[in-house]
Amino acid sequence: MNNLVALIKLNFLSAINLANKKKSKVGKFLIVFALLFLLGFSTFYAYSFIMVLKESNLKNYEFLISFSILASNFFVIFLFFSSCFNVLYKSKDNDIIFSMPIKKSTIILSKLIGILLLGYLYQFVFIVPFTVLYYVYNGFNIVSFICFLFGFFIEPIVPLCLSCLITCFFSFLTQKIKYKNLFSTLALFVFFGLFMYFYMQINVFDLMENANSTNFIKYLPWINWFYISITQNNLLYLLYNILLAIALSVFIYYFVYLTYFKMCTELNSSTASKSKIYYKNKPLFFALLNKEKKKYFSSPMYVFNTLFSYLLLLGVCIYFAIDKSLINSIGEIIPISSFTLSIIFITICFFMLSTANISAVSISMERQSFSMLKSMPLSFAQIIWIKITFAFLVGLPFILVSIIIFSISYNISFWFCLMIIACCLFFNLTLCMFGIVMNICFPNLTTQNDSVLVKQSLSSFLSVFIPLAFVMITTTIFLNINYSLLHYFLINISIIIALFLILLYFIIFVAKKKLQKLN
Amino acid sequence: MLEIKNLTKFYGTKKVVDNLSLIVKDGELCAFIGKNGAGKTTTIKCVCGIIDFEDGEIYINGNNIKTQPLEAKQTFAYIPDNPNMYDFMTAIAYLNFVCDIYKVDKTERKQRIDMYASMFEIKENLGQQISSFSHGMKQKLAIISALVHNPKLIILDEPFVGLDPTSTHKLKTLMKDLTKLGVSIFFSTHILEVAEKLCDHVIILNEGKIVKQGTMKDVLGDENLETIFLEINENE
Repeated sequence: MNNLVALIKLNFLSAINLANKKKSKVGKFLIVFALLFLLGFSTFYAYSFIMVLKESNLKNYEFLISFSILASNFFVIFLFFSSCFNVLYKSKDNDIIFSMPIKKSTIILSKLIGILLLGYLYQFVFIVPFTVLYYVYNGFNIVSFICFLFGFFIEPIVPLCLSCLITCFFSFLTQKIKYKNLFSTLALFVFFGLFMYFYMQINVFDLMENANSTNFIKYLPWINWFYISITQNNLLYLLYNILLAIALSVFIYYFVYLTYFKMCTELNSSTASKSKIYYKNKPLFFALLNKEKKKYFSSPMYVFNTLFSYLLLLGVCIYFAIDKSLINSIGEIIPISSFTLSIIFITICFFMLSTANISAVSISMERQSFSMLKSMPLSFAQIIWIKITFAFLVGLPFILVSIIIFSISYNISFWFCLMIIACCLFFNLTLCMFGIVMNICFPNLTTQNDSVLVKQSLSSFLSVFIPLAFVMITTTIFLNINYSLLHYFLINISIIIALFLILLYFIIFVAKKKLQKLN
Repeated sequence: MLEIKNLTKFYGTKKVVDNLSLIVKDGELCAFIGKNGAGKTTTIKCVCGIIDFEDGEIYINGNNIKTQPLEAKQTFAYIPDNPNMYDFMTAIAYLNFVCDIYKVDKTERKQRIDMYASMFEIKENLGQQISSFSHGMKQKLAIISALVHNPKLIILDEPFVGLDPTSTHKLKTLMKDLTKLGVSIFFSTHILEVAEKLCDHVIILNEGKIVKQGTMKDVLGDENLETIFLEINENE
């Protein structure tokens, strides 16, 4: 039992990146601040929905519950699926843990509970503010609250079990395949592509009118039962959820237990496949760029988490090109022109690009080999700019193709198209610089798990969270305070230019000292 | 070739290297010994420009590591105690990468890679992913990557750890041969017999301070290195 608690503590703290006691106070403060900010933002959105429901005289407050459960499940499944593979099978501390006198069951349980705790943290941010406001406006009921309280802890167990099952299946397939990294990356994309498609079938407006209307909820019974138990004060559905969670977790636990070590061995056994021996000269720039490319594509988790947003941007553009109804419906609120469409598209691009920051863990991913790089005759400026360049180049084709598709399908004039390209590329460059600065300020060369590094490291979190908050805040202010689209655009661009200059100053004058101290 | 003047390094408030000064001449083979935590790796990392230091100056081939880092780094090679290389690359890709950084042309790189890979018996493995290498093979690859650009100074941190006896013997011979060509070698080790037999110069470090340094003959006198080392630690 002591082993289990110790391992859970270790896994969870390292997952939320608080395992290092030496972490600066600023770092810890930023994590807490970011969580509080997300909680505040979630509350703000819940309140905004209430206002919409009130204004439209729907007063269907159940929508808050269905929406928050769907949203939290989306993020929780996303988290679980990507974490399970890395934490269970690809964790680099497995060798040490396996060599210790710890039961196999304890190891598996500690890893699963560690992921589950992280799921609760995610779920807390999405569900609690919505549920509190639901009780405030719909009236409090003790049975409903009991259902919510127990359901809150029971509900993520089913997605975790399903993620384990899918992960096991993927792991089984991966071990049979020569190009493990490529297969893992593609598998992640295919799974989440299908998952996103499934989620995109939900119509929020239908959900507002009748929270239980969407078939999607019915396909995922644990969501449906959780929803019914809260909104209809029905303990029976809570019981269904408990029984489903127990049955599934017992089945999955034994399934993982039986296959775990074999799978770990197979997945982590290095392939001794040979490639061609060559002696080829490359200019320094391309040699470094090639190294960055190889490093990037060697980690499926790194590729998936950073490339997903670019693919999403491309997918959204294709979707908008096929189905123009959503963009055209904006014409009912504001007159549609090339300029209006450009600004809307730039905002969409900014939003998507904010979540894709390759450079945020670029230095951390070097891990201990960063010492070797530092001992080579390379200036710190070369090391930093090559990482920024690589991150920028990865996004470049996606951004260009997305903009061209959007511009052609909505007949945006050539000059406005150029304006969109310039704005988006400049924003992307600023983000790449911001990511590297965050990584220099909050480096982590010791974490062995790619998933923890890419998803939960402070640099990664802040470099996604701050730009996202910037886009969300400016857009929310614009939507709530009625000022012109031109002003909105100019204010945003001015802030980005100011940020770009600050980052440039940091990279030129401060980064070198910080990197020199990094060991 | 290497000159360290009054090097001082703190980790927090703890002084790990204390006013350390030393000189490694051209073609000299210098052993850097001391018990665990004495400050050997920290000193080496300061010399290589991997970590910053509070006080003192380090010159490599006349170039200050702080003010002329690129010129200094171009002339030496570093082999860390734990060969953390890019696991995602093949050995040949890694060697090509190092050659690109140090601007070794195609003909020379082919000749040197072939020669050293054959010498350390990993020529057959050059096309393999580094992640599939054992610790010893990684160490061999690190050694080859250090030699491939013909450095004037080679800095090695515990180079014999993980090597098989044949490779250890070859490395020792190679180190000797390289010094004959004018290459200076500065290495840390815990294998005192190797240091005693191989080196012209020895530096003994204790708690960040040099407690003994000089030619091997001067330091040893009538005793052996192990006895002297143990005496220093007992007197502490």
